[in-house]
Order: sequence, then C-alpha cells, then structure tokens
Amino acid sequence: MKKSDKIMLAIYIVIGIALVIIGVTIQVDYYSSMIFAMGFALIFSSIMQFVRHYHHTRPENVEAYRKKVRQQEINLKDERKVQLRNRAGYISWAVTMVACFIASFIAALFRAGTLIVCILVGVAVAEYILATIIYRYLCKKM
Amino acid sequence: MRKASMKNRLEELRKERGIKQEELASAMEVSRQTIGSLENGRYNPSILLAFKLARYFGMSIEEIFIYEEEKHEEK
Repeated sequence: MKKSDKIMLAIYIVIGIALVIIGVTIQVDYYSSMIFAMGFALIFSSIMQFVRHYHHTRPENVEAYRKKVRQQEINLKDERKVQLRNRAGYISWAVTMVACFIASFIAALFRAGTLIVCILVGVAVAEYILATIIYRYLCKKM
Repeated sequence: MRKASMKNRLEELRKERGIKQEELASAMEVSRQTIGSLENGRYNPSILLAFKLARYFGMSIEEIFIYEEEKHEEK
C-alpha cells in the first residue's frame, strides 16, 4: 500500500469519526441515524482495509499475495474476460431498461404516484440516450 | 453467403513442447481459461494475442490459426 493510500484511509477514518459524532450529537429525526450509519460504514471499511493490508504484508503471506495481485492484474486485462464483461454489461443495461419500463407501467397501473412513474420512465429514457451519446462519442474516437 | 470459421493448432503445439496451459497463459499475460477457450475453438483471439502466440511458438500466424470459409448456397 502506498503512503498516499494510507493517508487517504486515515482521512476516511477521521471523516467517519466526525460523521459519527455529528450523528450522535445532532438529533434530527431520520437524518441523524443516516449520518451515523455513513460514518460507521466509513470507519469500518477503512479499518478493514488496514487490517487486510497488514495481513498481506506479513512475511508468510507476501508470496501468496503477490501471486493473487498478478492474477488480478491479468484478469483485468485479459481480452476474453474484457469481452465477456462488456457483453454482461450490455445485457444488464438492456434488462434494466426494459425492467424500468415494465416497472413504470405496473406503478401507473396501481396508481403509485406520478413522481415514481416519471422517475422510472426517466431512468429508462436516460439510459437509452446516454448509451447513444457514449456510442457516438466512441465511434468518433475510434 | 460464406460462413467463416477459424481453427487452431494451439493445443497440439503446446503439448508438443510440453508446456502447461498455466505457463502459456502466464507468458501471454492472459488467464488460463482464455487459453482453454482458444484451444477448444470457443474464442478467437485478437490480432495482438495471435501475434504474441505466433512469436512465442516461433511460427507465423497462418501456421497456427487456420481460416476456413464454407460456401452455403442460398435457396
């Protein structure tokens, strides 16, 4: 772990402690619990990263960790896996878009409220528009 | 209409040289599953990977990968 990463984790912990203190001291219904939970999650995840780092840097674990990191790097760049990830991303994008339209129809059918229906339709339309814009941008670049 | 497909001699060449899939994968900087998929013909490599494989075995791409075209008569 780089020194800058350690500093970032320390900053996260400080922010987390600040959020926990704010959550405990400020008594605003619902939001105080939300701030407390956010702070606690930040502290917990940062501490876990520190623990993980010290576990991996112990002499008996160094070699296994080095192999694991190398495999992760390969998996990240592996062309077949990149292609599969892209395909999975496309399928989940298409499924999400259709699901949003279906959910908006069901919401409208059960009179769930205009805001919910608009959000669901908006998300589906935004997904389509964003995908088209990104596709055109990538086409121009390639 | 022509249907194109590609076969390869990767498994044969690898076994001839006594190389494990893991070793070839490590040399090519790809996962072992990718080598498996290439050997089974389920995946066609990018031109870059094809060049790397050809260089690794000291052969040309055409000697490893065999491009085939089947002609289908349209009714």
